[in-house]
Parts: sequence; structure tokens; C-alpha cells
Amino acid sequence: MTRRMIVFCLFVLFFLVAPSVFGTGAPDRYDGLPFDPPSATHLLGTDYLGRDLGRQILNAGRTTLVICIVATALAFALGLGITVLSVLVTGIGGALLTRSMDALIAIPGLIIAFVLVAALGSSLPVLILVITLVEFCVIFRTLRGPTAQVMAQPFVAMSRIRGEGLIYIVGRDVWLNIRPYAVVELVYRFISSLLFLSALSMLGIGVQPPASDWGTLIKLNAAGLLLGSPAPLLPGVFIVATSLLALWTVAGRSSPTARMIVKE
Amino acid sequence: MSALPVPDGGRAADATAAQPGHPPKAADPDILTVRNLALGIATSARRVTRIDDLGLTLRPGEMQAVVGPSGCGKTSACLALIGWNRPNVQVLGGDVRLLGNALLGTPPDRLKRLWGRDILYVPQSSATALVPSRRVVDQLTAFPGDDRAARQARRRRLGDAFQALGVPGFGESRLAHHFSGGQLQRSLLATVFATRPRLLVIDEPTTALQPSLKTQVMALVKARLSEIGAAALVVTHELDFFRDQVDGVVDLTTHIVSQPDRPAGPAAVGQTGKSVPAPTAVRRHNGPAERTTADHARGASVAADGLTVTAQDGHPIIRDVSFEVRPGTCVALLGPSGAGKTTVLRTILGQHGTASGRIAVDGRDLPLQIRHRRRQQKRWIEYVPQSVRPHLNPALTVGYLVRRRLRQAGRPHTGDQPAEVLAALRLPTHYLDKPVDALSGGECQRLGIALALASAPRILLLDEVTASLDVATAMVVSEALEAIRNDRRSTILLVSHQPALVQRLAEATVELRDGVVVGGADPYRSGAGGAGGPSPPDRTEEARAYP
Repeated sequence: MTRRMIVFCLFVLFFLVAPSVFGTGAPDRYDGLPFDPPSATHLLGTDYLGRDLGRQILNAGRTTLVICIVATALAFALGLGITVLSVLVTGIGGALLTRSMDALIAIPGLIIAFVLVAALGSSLPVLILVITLVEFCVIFRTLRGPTAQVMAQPFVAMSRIRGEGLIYIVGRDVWLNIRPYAVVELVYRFISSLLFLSALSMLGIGVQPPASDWGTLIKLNAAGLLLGSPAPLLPGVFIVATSLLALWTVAGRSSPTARMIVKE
Repeated sequence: MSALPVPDGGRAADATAAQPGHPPKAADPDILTVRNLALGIATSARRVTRIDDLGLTLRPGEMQAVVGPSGCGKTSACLALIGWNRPNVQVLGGDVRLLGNALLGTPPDRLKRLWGRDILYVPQSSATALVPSRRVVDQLTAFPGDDRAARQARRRRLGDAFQALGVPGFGESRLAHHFSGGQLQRSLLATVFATRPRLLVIDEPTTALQPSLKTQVMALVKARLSEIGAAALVVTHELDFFRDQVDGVVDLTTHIVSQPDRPAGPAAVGQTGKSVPAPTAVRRHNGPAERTTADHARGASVAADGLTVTAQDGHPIIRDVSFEVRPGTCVALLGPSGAGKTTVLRTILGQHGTASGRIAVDGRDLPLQIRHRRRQQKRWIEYVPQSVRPHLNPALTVGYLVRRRLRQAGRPHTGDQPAEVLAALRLPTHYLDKPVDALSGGECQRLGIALALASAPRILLLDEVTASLDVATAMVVSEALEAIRNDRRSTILLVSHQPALVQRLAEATVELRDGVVVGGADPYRSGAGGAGGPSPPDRTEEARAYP
């Protein structure tokens, strides 16, 4: 756990607890006129209904981050599992698995989203499912190379010769050596799912009002652009800031010299 | 082997080189002069070896040896000389001149033009120096800036060199794993004959070769040096062999200011020796009669009967190899480079899919394929390869590996035990916290043996384990191995080109040539080694096969 990771975790934690601390704000309580500019009482101004935008953003932040983190974690677990499986299963089974993943990558994410949301309706679990489906095959594609490479190393053959079990080979030999790649990939997928979720919400098939995420806020406040209000831009600033912070967390981690060491 | 590959000078290929066609033995300037070179080499997170006041002069045709104990930074220092700084190396001062031009501080793009042209580096670890998926010959002839004609000329000269060095299979599009360790080493050395460098840095060129071949190979290299007027630095620990071969010796130990991570000298021997049971405590079990669970910690008998392994293209690698090793003894597999010694060991490990024949441990059949063996059967055998480093997970710490093996062997793995395992091979205790990544090649080698001993295997397979170690370290290793042999806890099957080690450890020998048992010596019983005798050794180039 580096200092940067701690910073990122605190950032996420802040958005998870902030709505409870600062109050969620009743959806029907209006704090001022629509699209008020930032002021002492409303630090970020007000939104299209005259509600405090700062509070709306904190509220939406919780939803956004929960969906993204859960979806990324699921996608990562699924992707890593299938990666290991595809390397272990040789012959036609492994080839079939790899090819079907390729096919899944070939389908545009938005189309998957449209179909699933049309079929199942837009709810939190469905959104998480959509993002997981879109992202996990990319994780598979990225991690398969390093995993196959590590599996071909003499030390893995040596572990097999010594009668080490699958858990040791996957957990010690493979995971420890692909971990630098995996950590970077995890962060890229988090950013990717953040952007994807925001895009879905912008298009109106993501998080539905009265619940909101940052993408929804951009969509709802879009009219403010004509009035010179910063309201439609500010949620976007948070999306960008979160992405950049996540990137900064792993900056320089992908280099092969950045090895992590386990101590028993 | 008398036919020297006297390349025609290959001027076509070298027209682009910076100094084409230097007449040898002319009043050339010194090839390399090093003055007051100071280097810092980080050997672990906290320790830095400082090499100070390094100086040498290489005249055309000269060869000098760079010696020092394993892990002291021989390779790092030599690479720093030619401008290649490993991440853990820092040049602190001094002056290095190639043909009178300063080399330190030369911009990287100019250095890149020198490397492979005026400066040639022949790396040590043949297995990792080459890309496994590309043809070896293609890799060795790939030099940037070559046009078609130059590449073909280079290829021709490399082919001559392969022949002169006795490496088979030049025209067969072989990959690295089709060659034996000794053949790979020689094929890398063959680049010396396909280029016209002025300065050569050759890293451990003879570790995998038998003594007779060593002399031949070095004679060829020296002839080439004087032919093209080049000079060479040879990194080696085999000072005994090179003393007669070289024109000068640079001993790095005399330049080291702060001692690298090395165990204390002979004073520590008495203490550390404790973990290895004294040779006097020889317990001999009388045959494999009683089979209790405690037998796990005792050497097993190994019998191979008619082992045959064929390469993918149908060439036999080993044919009808039979021998027998009695419990707790040590048998050496001998034979020239490429005879199939490693193949025999790997077959015992169950690594060859095409193997046929029979392997019996304590009289019971051991499945020929690793996937058919039970976990317990796998744990009976420990294998220490020629080059241990790639066989250890670089992300784990030494301590983790040691403790895991002790635990698997059912031995105490807390307290002082792990440190004692290291001490048997004179590795200091604080190495327990080091990642395998941070160890030098020689240290990895010692660690490999320490780990094998920690598992208390019934059968111990050793493949040229001391070849890449300096004399002092090799002594430590053979002492530790001798103690194991004397205690009869493990049956040892040893492959080595080093007569001293074989003489010290082996009680019987099996001699292989071209994949066939051609003889052997067993002072206790006859017939053990010669079972494969009747089949005459086939000496055609075909039967040399892929080792």
C-alpha cells in the first residue's frame, strides 16, 4: 500500500460518507433559484431546480463510485479467473474460451448496454452487470499475455516438478509476477467504467432520477449552458478529477522494475 | 578441430564498421585503457559495493581475465566499462578509453553504434541471452545496419565458426532449447568469429564445457583475437584454467573498498558447518527392506531401464539408457557436451513426453510422466539445474522459499532453522529477507542447492551445479554435498564436467556419448553402468540429435 493508494482510498471514502455527513437534501427542497452562480451559501451554485449543486454532486458521487468500484471488482475477479483458466486448460477448450472472449470484445459496449437495459430495465444491479460484462473481457485480453508468459517460465515448471499445487502456482508464481500489470489494469478498468457509466447516464439509460450519478447531473443541468451557469460542467470536473487521481495512484507501476515483494 | 575458421576477413560485411580491416600487430594504440575507475554497485537495498581505482590496459591481441568471488560485481563492472550501466551501477569517476577515445560520457546513440561493431559482449547465461522463440542463428547474425550481403557473409562465417567450435545443427533452424547448455555457450561465442570487434567482453565463456573442449575453444578465440587485432576481457571465476590462457588478471577483490555481502572467511566455517551433520555419522540402511514413514528422509535406490527419448522430429536424444544407483550413493553421469546427460535427469523428473522405458525407485515403478505421479512421489526428487536463477520465482523472498521447503519436508521451519539452511552454503542470515531478484547468479546457485537440501529429498539430481561458481564457492558447495552424501540421506545423481567434483562425490560413474551409455565405473558391482553397452554408439551427425 503506497502513499498514493492511501490518498485514493481516502478520496473514495470521502464520497461514500459525505452524503451522510452533509445530509442528502430532500429532492423537493429548493435552496434558491435555478442556476444560481456559486456563492457563500451555495459553494458550487444551484442546479436546474434550484437545489444546492455541491450536495447533489456529493450525493451523485456515492452512487457513481459504488457502481464503478463494484463493477470493476467483479470484472477483475471474473477476468482474472478466466485468464488463469484459459492458460491452464490447454487444447481445444482453452482455444474455445479465448476465441469466445475475442468475440465478446468485438461487440460494442453501448450495444450490450442498450440490449440489456431494454430487456431488464435500468437499475443499479443491471448497470453493474452491464459494466462488468463490457470490462471483464478487456481485462482478460490484457492479463492473458503476461499470465501465459509467466506460466512458461522455468520456475513454474520447477513448481510443478516439486509437486506444488494449483493454488501455489496461481497464487505465488503467477499472481505475484503479474501483479504490477494487474494493478495498472485494475485502475484503467475503473476509469473506463466511470466514463462508460457517465456516458450511459448522459444518454438517459444509466442511473434514473430521482437517484443520480455524475453523468445524470450533466444531462439534467445541460440547459444551464445557455444561461452561462457552471452547473453542467462541475460534475464533469469531478469525473475527470477522479480519473486523474486513479491514474496518478499507479503512475510508474507498470514498469517491470517495480516489483512487489511478499514477506511471510 | 584443426581447421580454423579463418574468415576471409569478410570485408563485405564490415565495410560499414568504424575501423575496417585493421592490420593485426601493427603499431596500434592500446585497445582499452582504464584508469582510476570507481564504481558503486548496489548489491541489495542497503549495501553498496564500491570498486575503486580500477586500472588496466589492453593491447591488441591481448586477453585479460577479470576475477572475483560470485556476486562481487564482475559482470556489472565490465558492462560499466563499455558504457552499459545496469540500474544498480553508478560510475563514480575515472577514465575509460577505447582506441584513445573516451568511452564514459559518450552519448547513448554513439555508444549504440559502438556496441556490436567495435565492442562485442558475449553474455554469460546462454539460456536467457537468446529469445526462445527465434532461431538461434538468426539472432546471432542480426546486427543493426547490415544489408543483405553483409548478413549473408556474417551467416557464412558463423557457420564456419559453429563447425570449428563443434556445435551441430547450424542449418537446421534450431531454437535455443534445441541446444544443450554447452552448445549454446559455444554458439554465442561463435559471434566472435562473425564480427570484427576491437574490444570483446566475454562473460564466463567456458562454464558448461568439459576441460578438453575449454582449451580448444579458448585457443580458437585467441587465434581470432590476434587475427583481427582485438583485445578481450574475460569475466571468469575459473582462474586456474585461465591463468595460463590470459595475458593478465584483474582481481576485483583487491579493488573493493566496502566488502559486498559475503560470509566471513574460514573462521565461520566451524560454526556454520554444524548444520551439516558430520561425516562420521554415517548410517547405512541395509537395503530397502523396511519401508516406514520415516523412510522419507533416506536415500532411495534409482534404477533406469531402457530409457529412450526422441525429439519431435524423430531423432533419438537418448537411447536405451540403463543404470542403477544404490540407496544413498552418488553416481556421476559423464560425457561430452550434448551427450544427453541433462535429458536423462529431466526424464527422471518426468519432463519428456516422448520418454519410454522404465524408472524404478526403491524397486517400484515411477511413472514416466510427471502428471501421472503422485504428489508424494514428486516430493521425493529435488533437482538443481545448471542455471538456478530462472528456476526461482523472482517475486518471493529467500526466507519464504526456505521455510516452505522445510515445512513441506516436515522439518522445523521456525527460529534458527532457515538461517542454518543458508549457513550450510555460507549465505548470510540477512539474505532471508532478500527477494530472489536481488541475488547474483552465483548466490542463486548456492541458494538452489540450499533449497534442495532443505527439502531433504530422497533423490537429488544435480546438473552442473558448480559450473558457474568461483573456486572458493564451489568448494563450499562440494563440502555441503559431500556431507549429504556421507550421511546417506539422499541418493545423488550428478552431472558435471568438473573432474574434481566428480572425484570428490561420485562413487560410481555412467558415461554417455551421443545419447547412449558407453561405459561407466562401479567399484561395488559390475553391470550397472554397461547395460546399454551392446548398442554401438552412432557417431553420424544425425545421431547427435537434439540434446
